[in-house]
Amino acid sequence: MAKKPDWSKEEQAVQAVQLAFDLSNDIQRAFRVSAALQDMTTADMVRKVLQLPYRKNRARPRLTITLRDEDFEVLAKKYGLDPNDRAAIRQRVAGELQAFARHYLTESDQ
Amino acid sequence: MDTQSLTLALGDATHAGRTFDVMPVAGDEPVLQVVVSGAEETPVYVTVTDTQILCLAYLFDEQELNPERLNELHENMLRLSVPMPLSALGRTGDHYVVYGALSPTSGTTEIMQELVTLAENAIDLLQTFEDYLA
Repeated sequence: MAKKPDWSKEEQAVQAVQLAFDLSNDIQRAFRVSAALQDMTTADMVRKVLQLPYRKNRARPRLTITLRDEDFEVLAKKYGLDPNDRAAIRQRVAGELQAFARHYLTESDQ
Repeated sequence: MDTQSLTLALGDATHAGRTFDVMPVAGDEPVLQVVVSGAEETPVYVTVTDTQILCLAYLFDEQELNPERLNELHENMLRLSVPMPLSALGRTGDHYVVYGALSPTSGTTEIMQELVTLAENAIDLLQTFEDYLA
């Protein structure tokens, strides 16, 4: 290229978009983290900041995931269980999640 | 068309059954973050300059990619960029993006068409290039 065209205005616009993207990512992360620390949902955290009514405490703190058929297959293989024995698989899943939580809480105390 | 009139126009508009959630982002240059209903995971960023209306969606960062397959990915991106409707692939800094540019004299209908197509293309591209992620 002999002479570079002057696209500095366009370049500035691209930079502005970049800043906007980083900012909105940071904002979203801040809301997720502060909500988690205060045991709130992200939506309630947004309502709190905006001074709109929100639920002070989570009605029922939940930790659920929806397991699909293929998830049960994977987990049954991992635990050496029958994929149809879903109650046993769920029990092992609960145990594994509790172990993770205990380990995590001990680690973060240190 | 400027960002302010675009914010007002998109707020109440519907295009191909889609609605638009517009949020102006603070900064020196006005930028809009537009979330197209049904494509919430890929927000589109819009700026207006004298020469163009630039609409851009972020796909992934270089750090997220498998370095050994980077050349293959670039090759595929160049090839896909041509037939992809209304959008092209590019890069700003470490971010890989899909974007579309319109004339600053474009009307709301053209802009909405661009936003819907771009957000849909971004989702399709994320699925297409999933294998290249580290």
